[in-house]
Amino acid sequence: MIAGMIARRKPWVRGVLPGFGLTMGTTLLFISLVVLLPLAALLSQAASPGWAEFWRIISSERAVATYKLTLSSALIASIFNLFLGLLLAWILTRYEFWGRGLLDAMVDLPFALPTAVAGLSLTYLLGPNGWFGQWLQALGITVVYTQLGIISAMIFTSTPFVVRAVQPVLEDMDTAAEEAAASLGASPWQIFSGIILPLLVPALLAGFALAFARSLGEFGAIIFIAGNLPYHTEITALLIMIRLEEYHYAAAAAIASVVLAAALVMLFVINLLQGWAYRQR
Amino acid sequence: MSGDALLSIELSDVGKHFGRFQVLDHIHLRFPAGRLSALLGPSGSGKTTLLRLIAGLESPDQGVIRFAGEDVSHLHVSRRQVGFVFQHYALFKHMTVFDNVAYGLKIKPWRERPSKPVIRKRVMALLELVQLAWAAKHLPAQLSGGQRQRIALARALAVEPRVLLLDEPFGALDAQVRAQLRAWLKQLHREIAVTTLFVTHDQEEALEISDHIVIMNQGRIEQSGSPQQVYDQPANPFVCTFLGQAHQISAHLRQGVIYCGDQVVGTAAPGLSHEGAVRVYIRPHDIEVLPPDDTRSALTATLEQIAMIGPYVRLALRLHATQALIPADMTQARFAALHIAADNTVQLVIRKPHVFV
Ligand SMILES: Nc1ncnc2c1ncn2[C@@H]1O[C@H](COP(=O)(O)OP(=O)(O)OP(=O)(O)O)[C@@H](O)[C@H]1O
Ligand SMILES: [Mg+2]
Repeated sequence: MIAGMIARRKPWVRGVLPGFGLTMGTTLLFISLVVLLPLAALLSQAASPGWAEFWRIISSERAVATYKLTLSSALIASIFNLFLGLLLAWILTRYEFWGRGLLDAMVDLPFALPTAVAGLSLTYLLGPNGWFGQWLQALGITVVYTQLGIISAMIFTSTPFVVRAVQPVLEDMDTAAEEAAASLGASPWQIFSGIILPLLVPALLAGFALAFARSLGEFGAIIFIAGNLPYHTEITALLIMIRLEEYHYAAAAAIASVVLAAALVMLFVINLLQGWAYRQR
Repeated sequence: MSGDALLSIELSDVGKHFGRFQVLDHIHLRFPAGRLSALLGPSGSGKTTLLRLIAGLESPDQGVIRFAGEDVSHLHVSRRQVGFVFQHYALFKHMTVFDNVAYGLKIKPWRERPSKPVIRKRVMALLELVQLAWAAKHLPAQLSGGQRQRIALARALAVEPRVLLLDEPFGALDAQVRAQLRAWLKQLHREIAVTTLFVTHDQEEALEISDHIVIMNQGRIEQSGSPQQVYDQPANPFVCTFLGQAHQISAHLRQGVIYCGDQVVGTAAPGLSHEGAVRVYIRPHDIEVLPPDDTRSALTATLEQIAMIGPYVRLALRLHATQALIPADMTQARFAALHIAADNTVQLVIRKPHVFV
């Protein structure tokens, strides 16, 4: 009460700890150096040949094919991870079993593993002679050098985002509400869909957004398994790399700016959705 | 609500342990139909566990739980038709107050589900009953603790439960709101008359509103009966000291007369034929203090301290026979009429000594 009144009379008192100016200044400086400056460089590089050329580069048939492939693969992988991540988080928080700690630690493996290593091992596992690949091959499913391979690599590298976003929310969840629902006659499915899931929506959206953004930018893990055939299995990140190797910096920057825009739009939309989901509570 | 479907709850030989810890030990109990029963006991005595067993939120290791004679021990919680109210409300925080109360009706299989207007009518009637109709569109977070608990109660009542179970329903509220809700619950119970059990560790609450009290300690039932019974005829020293204040003095029994040292305290209940050492428990307001010149009593004490506690006076008395210090309570007026001061010698009459062997 009293603190509130003082704060209202002296608007510069923001909390018990001083130092807002210093901390905010440092943060802004750091963000500028690490995030904004490189982005500005990228955009100026992309814009250097002029608008017409920029447009020609980013709307070329080969580039558009990579967008479609990358976007659709990332979308499928992220949706898949929404379920897989929720399942993993659920198991890790709701059950006591032998090796839970180990499983919990392994969820972070895709973060720790160099993506090239991940790509190589996936290619080996899913390849026509690999442990899983031979069985899939027998079923007529080819993973390596197809979009399926790209999706697999994206799934592998972005699972932890959903798990780690959902897990703390599940851990903090009060089970009494579920018990109350059960005593009112709710079935397990009704409890999950009506009581638990609505509270997880913001976390799921956050996990989805991060997984999607990561999948858009994934490079190392994918190029080993994708086949990299122009118009078919070539992702945008690879096209950027190719343009760089051709010393065609402006083209690389132009295409990169499209990826950047897509990621920003995605984050923005997810933020809106999250805000909406929070307001629903 | 369903006044015709009153049922009793019976537990026979119910046991429950968590790990190696025996939480409930051979419980035999019967809660009378249509009554408001209180489950009272110190922290950790197994009250919540017992309530959860009855609700089906926990399953017993042994024994049988019956609702009106029907064995429900293996009936799933969602089938037991119990209303459960949690200490911390456990409301669905993403739903409005209306949707919270309507939940139990909306999730019924379509064959049994009332139509939308019927649900609406019933929910509004319940909100009316708990005096919160104005809050129908609010979210739980916008309500006070007492209001939330009333919503939780309305939600539990919406499905017309066969029994109502409340686990320290007012435990998280401040004293004033508690007292209000307590009276209100009593009133509500009179209106709906559904068999109700509530857990509390506030003995005053239990004595004030319940028709029946069960006192638990360390996973066992110490006594069960009407409030009057358990207060006036405590079955053992635990019940005696747990319900209200009581102070122990050591004494002995000879031919039905209680002696403290060589002074007479009073006579024991007729049934008690013990001879020798006994423990006598005395409640502060059961001690009548007489001026020193009075000769009605043989029990003497020195008045050591006088404390004014609101409307009454508490005296600390040192018994001459054993040097034990016991408290006595009386009204201000009574104290003034006595004309006594600290260090005076007084005579005591013990109105109702509780004697345990
Ligand atoms: N799920 C559980 N796992 C292990 N031990 C438990 C569990 N639930 C309760 N216990 C133990 O059982 C004992 C009785 O617990 P219970 O919650 O029934 O007590 P209570 O009488 O409700 O106490 P309080 O008044 O503090 O709520 C406690 O010692 C508690 O530690
Ligand atoms: Mg409890």
